[in-house]
Amino acid sequence: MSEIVLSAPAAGYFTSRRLGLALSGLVIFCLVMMALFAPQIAPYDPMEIDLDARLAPMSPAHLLGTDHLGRDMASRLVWGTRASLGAVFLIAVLIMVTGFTVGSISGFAGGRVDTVIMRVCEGFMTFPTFILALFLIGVLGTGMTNVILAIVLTHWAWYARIIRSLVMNLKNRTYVLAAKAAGGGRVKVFLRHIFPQAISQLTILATLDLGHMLLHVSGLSFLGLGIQPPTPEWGVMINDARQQIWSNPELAIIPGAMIFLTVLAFNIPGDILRDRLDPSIADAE
Amino acid sequence: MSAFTGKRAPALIEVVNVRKSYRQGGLFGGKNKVDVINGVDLRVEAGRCLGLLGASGCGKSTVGRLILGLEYPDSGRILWKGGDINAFGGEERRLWRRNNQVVFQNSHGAVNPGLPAWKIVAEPLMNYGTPKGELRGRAESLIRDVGLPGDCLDKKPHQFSGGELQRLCIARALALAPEFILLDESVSSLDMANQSVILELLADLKNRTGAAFLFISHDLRVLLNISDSLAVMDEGRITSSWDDIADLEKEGVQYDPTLARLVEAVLTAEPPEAHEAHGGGVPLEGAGI
Repeated sequence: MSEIVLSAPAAGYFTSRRLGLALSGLVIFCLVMMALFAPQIAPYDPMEIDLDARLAPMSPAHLLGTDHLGRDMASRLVWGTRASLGAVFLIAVLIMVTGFTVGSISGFAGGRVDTVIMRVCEGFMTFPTFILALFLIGVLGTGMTNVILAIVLTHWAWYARIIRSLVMNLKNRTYVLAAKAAGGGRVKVFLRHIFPQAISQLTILATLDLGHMLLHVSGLSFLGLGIQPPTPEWGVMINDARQQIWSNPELAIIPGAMIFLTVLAFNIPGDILRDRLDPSIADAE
Repeated sequence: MSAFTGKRAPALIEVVNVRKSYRQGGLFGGKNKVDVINGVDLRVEAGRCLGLLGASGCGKSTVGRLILGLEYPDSGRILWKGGDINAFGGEERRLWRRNNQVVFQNSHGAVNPGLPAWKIVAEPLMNYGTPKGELRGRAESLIRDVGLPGDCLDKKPHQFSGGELQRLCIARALALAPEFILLDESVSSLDMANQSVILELLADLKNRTGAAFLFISHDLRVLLNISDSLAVMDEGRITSSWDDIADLEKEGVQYDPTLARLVEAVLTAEPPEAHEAHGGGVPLEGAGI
């Protein structure tokens, strides 16, 4: 079986998919390393202002030049990875935990519990992320916590719904009935037969969505609602570069390119994972 | 129901006037009630096999799920050794559950596709406190018992054929040495050759373990092979029953209209060469056709 799978796909399968996966893996690895070891990697303090070196061009001393306050762009970019990715991962974990818990309770319990939970979810799903973010920030003030809260509040319901339908589907499988008949209690049956499958699907979903969440975080920070200057974050950096957009466009292009690259790096493996792990597609191959 | 009265061995399972309906549609449970079972009485005796024959959709699988406690009856009682199964609690329930196992129709759907064979078979043992260290060994002997090679312990479900997988499900049902096994269309998704092999295995296991069976099927030939007694179900009711299946073979099916219709339905659903191909391995002649 494994031999057939390894030899059958056309050459294009290897070149595009495998290469895409390898490259995105490499990019994600580099990004994670940058985020984890920002203090070691960054050559300068990202917030250190050096007015003598304002808008310095790229040079060995400042690899990517400096911004309008003479702060080292390379260092700000590296520290920005930490802020952006940190926020995105935190959001992803919060959404997964909330969505999974609510969704599996709803799906496994069924009946009225399910009906009530689903109506609540639908309520949350009607809010667009940006509108809710603006509302929360208007009420609670600017800051990353509120942005994270806004994104989590507008996204968890989608996950809860998907997990709910998955759990409902799984709980009616014959092998779950068989497991009940074999003497497994509700918790045992859930942990042994439903949880592993549901969690793998959820991880794929979250991976697919990481890029989308990064866009939200950076977008809101760009608008000055999320992470506040002078803390380095990609969205904040693009905003800072607005005044120099004609004289020094690279100040906006570089963090923009980082966002682009990161979103791409998360979306490619998400797509491939979905294709590989979706049973309906996997069977067809 | 005349055949189920009179003096006989004490019943292992008694289904007494059970009714079940489902509600359809609507947010808070709709108004459309669909009656699935309209007062069914059944009696399974220790060590015997009761065949339950019925067309698809007649409610026979629901009877099975009710007996296993996977669903609850609207009214009526299901008795295990005289006690109502839905009134059991704690240790009593555990003991009853342990003694009631099941083999479903679709073996591919009845096993978790992510688990290796030995874990599938060992699952009931895990639930009833077999030490972790012994699980693999116990699973191996069970797997050998149903005629599978001992080297398939670590194979995943997709590496087995349908017949092999059904053996695995039988091994799982046998793991706790239950007094009763429900066989819900257990050979229906297998080809003719596999059907007779699995039926032989089941008959052999019944003699060796002394477990009682309730064999649910739409195919009389299957039931004639293995059952000691027979009940025919139609539209949620038991329409006729034979305490000794030999009586049926003497009478012949044509004297019972429902039975004759069911046999006719099975025969017309199959291409004619199928009957010749398996060479009467599952005889119909005995049923007076």
